[in-house]
Amino acid sequence: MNTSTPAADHYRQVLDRSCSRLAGADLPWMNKLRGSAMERFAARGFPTRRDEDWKNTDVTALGAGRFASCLPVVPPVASAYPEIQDAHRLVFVDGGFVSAAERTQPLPEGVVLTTLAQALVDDPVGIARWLAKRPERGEHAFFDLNTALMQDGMVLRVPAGVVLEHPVHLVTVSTGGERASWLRHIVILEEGAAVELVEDHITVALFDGPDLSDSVLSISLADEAELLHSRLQRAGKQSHQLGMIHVEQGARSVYHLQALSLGGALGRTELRVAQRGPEAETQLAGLSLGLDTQVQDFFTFVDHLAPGGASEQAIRAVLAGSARAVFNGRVRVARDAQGIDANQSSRALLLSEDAVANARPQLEIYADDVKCTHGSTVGQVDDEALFYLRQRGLSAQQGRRLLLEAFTAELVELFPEGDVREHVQAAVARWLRVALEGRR
Amino acid sequence: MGHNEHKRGEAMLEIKDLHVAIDGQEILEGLSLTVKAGEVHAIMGPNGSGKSTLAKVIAGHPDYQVTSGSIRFKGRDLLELEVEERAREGVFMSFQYPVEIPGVSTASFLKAAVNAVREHRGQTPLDAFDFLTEARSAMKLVKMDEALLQRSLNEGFSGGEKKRNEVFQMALLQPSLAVLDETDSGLDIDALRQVAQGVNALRSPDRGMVVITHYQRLLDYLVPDHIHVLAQGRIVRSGGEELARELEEQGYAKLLGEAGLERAAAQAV
Repeated sequence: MNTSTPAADHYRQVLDRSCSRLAGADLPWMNKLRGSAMERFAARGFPTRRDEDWKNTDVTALGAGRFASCLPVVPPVASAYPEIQDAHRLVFVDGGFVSAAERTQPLPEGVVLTTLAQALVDDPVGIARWLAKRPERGEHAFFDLNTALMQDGMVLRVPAGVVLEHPVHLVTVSTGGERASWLRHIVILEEGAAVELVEDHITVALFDGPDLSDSVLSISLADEAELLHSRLQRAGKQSHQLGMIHVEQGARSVYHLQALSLGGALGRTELRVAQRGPEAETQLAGLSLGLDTQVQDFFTFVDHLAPGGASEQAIRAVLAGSARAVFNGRVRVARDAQGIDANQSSRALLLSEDAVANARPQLEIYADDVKCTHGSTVGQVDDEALFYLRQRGLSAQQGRRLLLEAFTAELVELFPEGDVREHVQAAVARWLRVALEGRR
Repeated sequence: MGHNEHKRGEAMLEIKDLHVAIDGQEILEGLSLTVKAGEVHAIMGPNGSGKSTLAKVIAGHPDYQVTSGSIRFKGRDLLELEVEERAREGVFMSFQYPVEIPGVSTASFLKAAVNAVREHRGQTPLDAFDFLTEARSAMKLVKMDEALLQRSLNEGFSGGEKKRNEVFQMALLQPSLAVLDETDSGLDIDALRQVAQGVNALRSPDRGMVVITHYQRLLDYLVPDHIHVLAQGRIVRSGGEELARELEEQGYAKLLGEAGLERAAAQAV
């Protein structure tokens, strides 16, 4: 059964060498979980463009990379970490937890906010079922390798009825040097709990060469729980960012994800949501900004399994150079899930002839009383609008910038007000300056 | 206004034997027109005669190719200048169909526009407070609702609001030459009167105006110094107020027929 390929041999070696330093290293069931995930990876290999879900996103080069993990962590200067006022902050550098960078406020009674390694010491049984979950049609190399090699991660559990006053800020830093980070996070909100989570992925290029950040975030929302989730991916040129988010929603629960994806050689955000309880609400706002040969990929699967639910997905991309944006949006409405309202829209603006946007909505509807819409457009900056602005004295560049700011503003304004939105606004403004004026 | 000052009587705009094509099709076929500072010229003509093309060529729309002829503005070759350079030098075009731009607030766009023009004139940029003060006084001129400043540019504006917004911007930018492209179209009689009053208030000895219209009714409120009839890409008649009355009574067909333009006359019925 032990398939031998160069990639499989490499990552088996990584696992063997780093085993003792991984979360839950002394738990036999964890080692078994890792071992079988590694063998699934060995058998399956990396996805190719023949795989339906990877048709427009080529990971051949990434698969050929020989990333190391569990090397001694070299933390960057503290000022490199993004700040969010009053947030509870956890920082991981190349997959390793940096305790010196932790900043937590007093937490309400019963709230658990800790690392995966610690949670596996405190409550291994409670954690086991979350780690063993395997997503439907979501198993691929990057999920298997994450299960096999998970170094650490964040665990957040909020008891029923508790509303966290301050956001939880999860910072992931990549440093180059052919280092990989494999992080596994778990967020459990019990009935009526409410949390704001901010995930920040940055690169601080301490070493030469590419890096890989591969994370799986499992979210469980009980009835009427609410999670406002912002994900800011501001990666360096040679970073590869793969983020998998798996959400289970109970009745009348609310899950909002606002995601910014810019920088990096490759950014792929996978969102898989199962609405298990009735009248759940899911919202995704995804903004991709691509330059050079970057690929920014949003992959979503919203599974409406109960009646009365709603899902709203808005994807926007601005692409320069020969960048590519990909949106795969799958919505399934089960036979008994009546009264579903599911909408998808994707719009891309291309700033150059070589930029490409692929949008692929897939609707699978088995119920009869539903409202499902999808729309997708790809275009350039509106010439008549630009002429109007220039006729009033704005330069072509000023005009283009204004039109692009307006195009992105619709999604930027969905990020929570304050530090988070300001970080997003600043990143978008900087990106537009680079894309329009070539200034780095 | 520094170097933008221009005295009544001096030629502000000189168009000579202008030929213009779009997608290879010739639309203006030898148009000549001189507008002096302080004058208001009306350009009338049937649909398809090239009126809007004239406005867009003066403003510098990139889709129109000037194949021969010249346009001089305050003595300079206008055709050498980019769209925004013309605007900053004092050319303003009021759009027949002002573009709706979602997500761009009218206020922030106009502040950028005013300051681009001011910078070009060597003036200090306006801060938010001074801009608002100037904007408020300009809005009064066309009785425009102040709330529109905070809305996205022209988005969801009524036809009347869009045209008021154009004249308001003209008041704010204080151009030397204003080209008004069918500013009367789509307006009811009250809105027409208010917009025309706004334009009248902006008449000045050092400003030239070219008012393009299909109908004579605008000229009841905005009495021009000269009237020109445009047909088949050329000016075929010029005159004073009496020409507008003649057109109102007899229509374009008769006038064009007399000018030997049977094709245009047949289309103008």
